[in-house]
Amino acid sequence: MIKLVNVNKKIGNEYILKNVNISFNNGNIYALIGPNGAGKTTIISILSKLMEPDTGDLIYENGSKNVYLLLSGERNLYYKITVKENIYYFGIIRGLSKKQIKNNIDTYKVKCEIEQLFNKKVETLSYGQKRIVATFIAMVCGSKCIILDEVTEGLDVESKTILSKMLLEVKKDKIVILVSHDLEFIATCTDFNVFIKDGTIITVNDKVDELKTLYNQYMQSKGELQ
Amino acid sequence: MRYIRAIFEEYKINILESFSYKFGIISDILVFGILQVFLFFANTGSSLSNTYNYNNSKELLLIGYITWMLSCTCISNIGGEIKNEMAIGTFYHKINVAIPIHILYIGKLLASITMQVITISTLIIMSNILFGVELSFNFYIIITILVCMSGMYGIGLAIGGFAVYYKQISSIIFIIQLLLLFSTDVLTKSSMSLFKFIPLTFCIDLIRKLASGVHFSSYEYLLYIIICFIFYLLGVFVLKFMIKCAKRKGNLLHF
Repeated sequence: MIKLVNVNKKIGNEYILKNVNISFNNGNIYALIGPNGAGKTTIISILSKLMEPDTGDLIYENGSKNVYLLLSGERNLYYKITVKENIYYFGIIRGLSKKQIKNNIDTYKVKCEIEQLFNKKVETLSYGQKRIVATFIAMVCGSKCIILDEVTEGLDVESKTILSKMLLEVKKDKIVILVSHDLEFIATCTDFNVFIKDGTIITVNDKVDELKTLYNQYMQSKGELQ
Repeated sequence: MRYIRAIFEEYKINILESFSYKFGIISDILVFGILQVFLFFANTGSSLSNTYNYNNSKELLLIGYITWMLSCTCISNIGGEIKNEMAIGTFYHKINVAIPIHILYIGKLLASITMQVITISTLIIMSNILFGVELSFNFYIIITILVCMSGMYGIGLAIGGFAVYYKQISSIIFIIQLLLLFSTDVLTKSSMSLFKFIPLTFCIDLIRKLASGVHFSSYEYLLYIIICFIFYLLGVFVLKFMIKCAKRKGNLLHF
């Protein structure tokens, strides 16, 4: 489990997060949803230890300190080497042995439909394939928590379907946290949805329809203000 | 064992990546080769013969030039690579792994040195054919250069630390490389004692003494090792400090 307790973060003169309290439990997929500037990226940066909160605590339990953050877009990989070399590289720097990596690959490879890409250089892959490979690496590198920023950005329907299957497979023994504006995708795989607005958590629930209503209400009120 | 495996893996992927940019190797040979030919034709470093009481000043110049090239590798490849890795997003994985980043990057350093050795070998052959310069490395010279690399690696880590916080550092790297060429006795022996305590200056002096048979005390060599070690530790400290500052400021991911 990972917990944020009374977390506040100020960047410049602006409070990006205000008294955030939330727990993420193993075996669940969480989606962080909210308008741009709501504080989603700040939360995932703090969870992945790339940002320090001004006040409040970040508590890791049961070895969940090993967090794997997948940045948005085509990043996260070395382009000039093959997919397999990338997988082993990221596994080894995270302290896994080659045998452990191989076992993890064998566990996930069939369900992820990725084996045919193993010997291809990353630079030759499509955008969607790169995202799938990066997600697969996060799955096999022994992390207890996987965070995916802008998870479906730029992906076609087929890639989204594969990704959704992968996430449902990986959540069995991990925490998965997604950042996305794609409510349809979120409805296919998440267990809990966290709606954030102006640095505050408004609600955590398992009903995407409720979130859609909240989101629409927010967008309408913003439109009226403008 | 885990550290060695990770360093080897870092070394391997960097070598594979370097070989896929073949033009990079060719351009390095051209740039460093042209500069070297220019220095030899301009009779740069002729005063080194008097300083070290050794006939072949070109040999002394070449040995200093090679050490400067290796030092440039430490600075530009380590400092510059941290910036590049932030751009492609792989840096963020490395600062959260069990292996400290300054240890992991030793693999990157060794890969950069390996690639630079290809360029250096070409230059040595070229010097021999064009200018009749015969350069021989003995064990002590190689060890002395490797000790220097550890100190210069510290400078590379520090520059990488600044890249983590300030993001754009390419021009700083270029200025530092030029500054090292003209201030660290690569071209001639200067009397500025301030620069003596840069690992590269100290190293060049020691290896020229080794090459020309000039005696130096073991105290001097011990001082050299300590200075290189201090530079390395300072580099590790600056990198860690700047990463911490970036985490506090919240700009680590702003690339």
